[in-house]
Amino acid sequence: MKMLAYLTMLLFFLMSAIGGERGIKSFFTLFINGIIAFISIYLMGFKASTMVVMVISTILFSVVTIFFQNGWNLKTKTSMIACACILLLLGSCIFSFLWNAHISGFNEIDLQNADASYMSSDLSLSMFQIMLVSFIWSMLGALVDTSIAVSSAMYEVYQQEPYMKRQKLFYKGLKLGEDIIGTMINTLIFVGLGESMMLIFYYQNYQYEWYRMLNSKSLLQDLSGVLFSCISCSLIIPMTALVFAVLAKHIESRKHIESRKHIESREHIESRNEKNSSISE
Amino acid sequence: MTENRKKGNKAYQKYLAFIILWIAIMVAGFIFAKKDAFLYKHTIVQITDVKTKLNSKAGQTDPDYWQEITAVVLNNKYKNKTVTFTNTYTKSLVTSEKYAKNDQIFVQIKQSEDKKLLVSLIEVKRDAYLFLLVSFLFLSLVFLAKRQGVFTILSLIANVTFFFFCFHYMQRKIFFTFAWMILAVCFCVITLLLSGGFRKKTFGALFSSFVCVGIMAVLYQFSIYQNHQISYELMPDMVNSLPLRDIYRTSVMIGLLGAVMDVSITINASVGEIIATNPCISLKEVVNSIQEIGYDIMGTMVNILFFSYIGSSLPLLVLKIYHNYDVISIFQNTLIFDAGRFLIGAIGIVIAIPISGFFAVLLFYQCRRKSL
Repeated sequence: MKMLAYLTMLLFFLMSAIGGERGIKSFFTLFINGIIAFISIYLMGFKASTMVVMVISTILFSVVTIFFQNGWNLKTKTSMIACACILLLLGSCIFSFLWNAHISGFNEIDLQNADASYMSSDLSLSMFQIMLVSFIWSMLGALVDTSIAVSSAMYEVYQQEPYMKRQKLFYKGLKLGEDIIGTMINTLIFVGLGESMMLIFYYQNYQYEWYRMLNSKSLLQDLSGVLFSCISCSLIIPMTALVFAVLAKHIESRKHIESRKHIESREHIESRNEKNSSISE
Repeated sequence: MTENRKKGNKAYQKYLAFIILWIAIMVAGFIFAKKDAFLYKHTIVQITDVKTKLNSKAGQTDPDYWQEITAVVLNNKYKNKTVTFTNTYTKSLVTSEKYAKNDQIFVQIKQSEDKKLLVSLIEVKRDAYLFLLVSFLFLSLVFLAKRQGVFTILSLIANVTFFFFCFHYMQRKIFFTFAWMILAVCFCVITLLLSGGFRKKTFGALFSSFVCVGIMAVLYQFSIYQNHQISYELMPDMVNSLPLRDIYRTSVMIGLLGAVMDVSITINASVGEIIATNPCISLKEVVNSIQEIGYDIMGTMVNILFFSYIGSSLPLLVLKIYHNYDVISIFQNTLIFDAGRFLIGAIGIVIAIPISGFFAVLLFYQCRRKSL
């Protein structure tokens, strides 16, 4: 307890010292997310409907992380829509995956713990739903942050060249995503390696055969959280690019013309009209 | 105009071909993994029919169900014979499995005296699903990140192989004490060299990640010193005969490593680019742009760590709260492992920003030396 309190204080101090105002803002985003997580875990523990808690907490998490940290603008709207699409898509994938692969509940190693028999008695919770929540939460961070990174990089490109074609903007987004995806996946994979280290020791110590390891519940349970978050953060890139390309064309170009009308000379408007007509062709 | 359109069409067709190829490989692999029973020594059955009945009184908190299952043996001695067996599961599915049609299960089959086949269940066959996830990830990486994706996959494979190799051959006590150091150095070298090649920025990133991991190790040791009563026996998947304290330290350091490497490679690459475009930019401007990049990375990376750790510790937390464990014991016995990993990782990310900025400036900034 003491250790956690000290480390949290140190984290706050460092974030405010190095990040300044925005550092404090991201610390508070983290803090709010922690409170949301705490409350929703308690609600699930007290037999509230798991699916309802999941939907509400996921919405709250993404709203706080996207809009509180980054403001209300085209970038954040884009990533909200893209995240919602991917969450629906991957959520249903995870649902059928969990059902078919039988990986909810205690695995064979957990069952040997002293606590397991006590904790598994008289349960009115559905472990299947809780596992679903666990997977969706663990991919949420990677999902939201990758999408914001892509959309803000695209926004910068788009501001420099506002009359880009929709298709070209989409391809540009994919290209920008290439740089982001490698680092994101590295982070996630090392987190997964650190977490599943004990498991590898366990397999070595009890000399699991390879067939048993490949098919064991514990391995798939540990790996699929990380793998799903890697998959989500690679799928979000084309999705964000697509949504941005669609939204930018409709909203921003019209605004751009109106705001520039006051500033620019007539020649510029004429030349842009030519450009516009060529685009509409 | 028409040429452009043709070019666009060609790119589009290439894209479409890629997607179709991607899906075809995945489906083919999945079907193969579903039918690979002949590769296994152990007997596998496929369920053909399931009858489920409620088996408990009304009002029970966790009702029992009873399943009568018919299945076909897929390999070995009793191939193509039909067997029947029973299974019970509870509604919460916490310690039991509910089987459905087309599930494949590892079983042990014995023949009784009156020539009936007695079946005992061992484990569900899950390799097809593991293959599906890994292949989907690899293919989407290659498809979306192209060259960099290939290198990410290569470094992943190299790291995991190295990891297994290390623990297979060096199971001595003294190794565990220094394991975090050995693993951190080797992982850094493998990952950064594979993704960046022999370039200046790679070495900048290497130095700064070493320094960061060193500082974090000292900090970790200090914070553990404040907290004597961590009961390492309560870690999930622990093995009692091993030095648990050292293993936890190693796992914390490895969890931190990925994030630190990312921060340092990003900052080194962008400082290198800034100085390459404008070699005599003032130091203040460089520091400003490092800060700007730092803001952007910090929040996102810390968020990623937060969500992946809280997600993985969620099921146990909910179960403990359901059974009325008190908050302090939950914090001290369950949450402390993941929370410690998260906090050390987050502090590592924040510290990595100034450190890698310092190394990047040291490596790339050569204007003053030239002018002298």
